[in-house]
Amino acid sequence: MTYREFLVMRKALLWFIGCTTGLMLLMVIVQFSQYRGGNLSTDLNELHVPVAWVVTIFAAIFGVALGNASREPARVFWVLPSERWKLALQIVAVDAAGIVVAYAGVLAAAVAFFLLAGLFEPANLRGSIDWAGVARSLVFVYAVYGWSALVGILGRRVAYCGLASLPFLLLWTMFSNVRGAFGELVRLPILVNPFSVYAMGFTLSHPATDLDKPMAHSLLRLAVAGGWETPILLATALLTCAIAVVLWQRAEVLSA
Amino acid sequence: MIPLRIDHLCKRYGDRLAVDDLSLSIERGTVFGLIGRNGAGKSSAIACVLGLIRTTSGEVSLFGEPLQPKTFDRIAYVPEINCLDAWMTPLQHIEFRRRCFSRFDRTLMGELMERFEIEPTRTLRKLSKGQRQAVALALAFSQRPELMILDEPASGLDPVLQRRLLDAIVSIAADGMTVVFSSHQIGHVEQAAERIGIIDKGRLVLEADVDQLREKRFIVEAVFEDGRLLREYANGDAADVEERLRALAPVAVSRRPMTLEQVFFSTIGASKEYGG
Repeated sequence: MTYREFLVMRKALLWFIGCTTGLMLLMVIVQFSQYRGGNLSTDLNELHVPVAWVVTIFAAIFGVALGNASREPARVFWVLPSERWKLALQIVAVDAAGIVVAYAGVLAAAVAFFLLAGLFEPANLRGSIDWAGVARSLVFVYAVYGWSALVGILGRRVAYCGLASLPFLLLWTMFSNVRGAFGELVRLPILVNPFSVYAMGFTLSHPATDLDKPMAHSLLRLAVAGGWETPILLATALLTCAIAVVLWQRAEVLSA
Repeated sequence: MIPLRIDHLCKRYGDRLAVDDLSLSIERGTVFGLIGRNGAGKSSAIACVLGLIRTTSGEVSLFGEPLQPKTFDRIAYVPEINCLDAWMTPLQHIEFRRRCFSRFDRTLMGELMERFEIEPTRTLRKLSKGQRQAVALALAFSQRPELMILDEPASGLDPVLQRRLLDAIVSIAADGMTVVFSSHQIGHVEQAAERIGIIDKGRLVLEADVDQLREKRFIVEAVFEDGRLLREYANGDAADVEERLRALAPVAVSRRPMTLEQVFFSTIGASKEYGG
């Protein structure tokens, strides 16, 4: 199973990192052609955040692997001489490793973008990569992957159903900022929404945060100390993946 | 050790009983053909045997014990729908199987690829439907299983490849491998199977040796002066049927062995519907 997943992941990474690098190059070209003076300024310390947002797309796409593998291909995978949960964990493990590579690839492409842009205009790169932030971002991306895996296996009758988790989580985050009873209601389980936790964790640590925002206010109660969001995101990732694996193990093959 | 034993197997989907009290025992080295109409319950029975779906009741034992993951090292299964990843090449599929199955035989796979004319380096997406099915079959054979379960194995194969497949089934059974295959194509079952089971509406309505069927099942026809033809199926004692028909004073009475197709139609009682 690992071999097959490795092949899938290799192909996907080539596409993803290729597309990201291509996009960066395009941006460099646009930057160069639009240059009207001024300078390009970025803080490398915060670069892990936008990179994480980009990689969530990759994670959500790969989260569908379990759900899809329990459809027609289950007739091949579930007759392999191995426990089903082991097969599922092999898929999750390879995907987890792939997500790290995807993250590293996008981060490298982002740094390369600023370095390349510096060839054409003054670029001000401040600070250095925040590795603790990178680790937190990776856990966030895993949590998004877990959600995709869970939704994918729950809605496995529809191929790639797990992808629906991404807009769902984003909409949930959006509605969490609504005031009134509806907002209160959707904010109740907000801790399992990785987007809300990650975004708020980042925002709360930012000096210019408007703490009067409803969701910020709710999460502030939990923000006893810095780094509180990482364990929550990790728990979300582990829980969603565990449920997905258990459901995969117990599922029946879909009739043709 | 009996490779496959099914006791009172039932599978229910909501109100519909897909497999109804199926009991079957298949001896080592047998080629067993499972025949039935679409939706008769063949694929559901196979899925229950392999644990792909949960049984409602009944028991399945493989090599004398309930199904366990390690048992799959001794079983090869080719589903009706080709589920192999189309983006992979046959060579990648071989490597995948080699890592999963301890007895996978690359040399045999090479021979089968030649026999089935499979191109090893093109992705399955670029191969014809028949070639994709041939890859699935070659991979299954190369696992060197003790029990092979094939669900509609010849679907999508051209007549030449169908012939080669049937030859391959017969030759591996001669080596002691047990083969269970389902098919709509009665001719295929007749060519390859030693023993057959006819399944209708989830029930096993007939289980017999093909040779015994040929010896015991006859069609007795009586032709009358006005050109009318009276045909009766005789199960076992054809002389009795002949006697009865002669009492009607026909011009001639003849007897011939039933083909498997005629056995099938007479068994499921659909001869009128099918014009048999």
